[in-house]
Amino acid sequence: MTKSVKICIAVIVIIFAVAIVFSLVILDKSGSKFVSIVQDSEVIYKFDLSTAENQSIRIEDKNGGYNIVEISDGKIRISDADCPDKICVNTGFLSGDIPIVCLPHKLVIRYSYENEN
Amino acid sequence: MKMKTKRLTELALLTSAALIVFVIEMRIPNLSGIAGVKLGLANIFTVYAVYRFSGKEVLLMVLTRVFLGALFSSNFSSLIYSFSGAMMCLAGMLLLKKVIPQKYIWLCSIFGAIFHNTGQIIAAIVMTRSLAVIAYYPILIVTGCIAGAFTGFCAYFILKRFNSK
Repeated sequence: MTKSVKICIAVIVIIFAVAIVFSLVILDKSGSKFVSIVQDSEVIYKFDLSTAENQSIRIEDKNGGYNIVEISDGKIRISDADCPDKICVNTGFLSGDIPIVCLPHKLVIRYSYENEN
Repeated sequence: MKMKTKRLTELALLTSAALIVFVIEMRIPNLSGIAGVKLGLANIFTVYAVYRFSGKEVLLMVLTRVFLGALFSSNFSSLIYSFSGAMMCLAGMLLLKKVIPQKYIWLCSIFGAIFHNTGQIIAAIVMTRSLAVIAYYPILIVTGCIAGAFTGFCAYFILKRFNSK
């Protein structure tokens, strides 16, 4: 085993360990009750999930695509979309710090911490 | 670019094999529920090709696979992500090939997976113009390392078979 191989193994082990620690932090449930719906880097909706009524919102993007955002019992998810991969729908309800992302429509649903605008 | 017919045939064969595996893998549902997590079996052929062919030849093969893959999955909106991921991955592996001997091809493959995920996350940040997607990065790295090790070992066994003949 040459020196460069040893260095490579060490680098991978470090990256892997750091990534595991960060994953655990991110997968932890978020303490925030505020969510922001962001499209094209602009916050278009803000909700306080503890008080928000059950509702469905249709969000359209510039090219005519849509996402249906559903809030029920203090949880938020994308219930339907016309994007080809439906990754945002399959992500399910928002939990932890992993945002719901619809890449084709550049839509992000995430927890917001401070009372940002 | 002049290319011997034998090499061209070999590259074409590898590309089509990679595409077949890609299409089969597309049919497997994503069990983790986290976007972007997958085995990336088609990368077995990329890793193999990196150690078997020149940089230019592998580039040609990867470009063909990425574009035909988008065509087969009829998912052109994800083309930019697979493209940036594949290019980062390829560039990283071609560089690392110089310091990592063939025996440790799985190491190169793990690095390839890390580069691939990095490229995709950068593309996603640029596309959404939001840093929120970076939350996916650590999870993608963890699963990417495991998937990369798996595809790397597959490539290792393919190389061993071909070399023993």
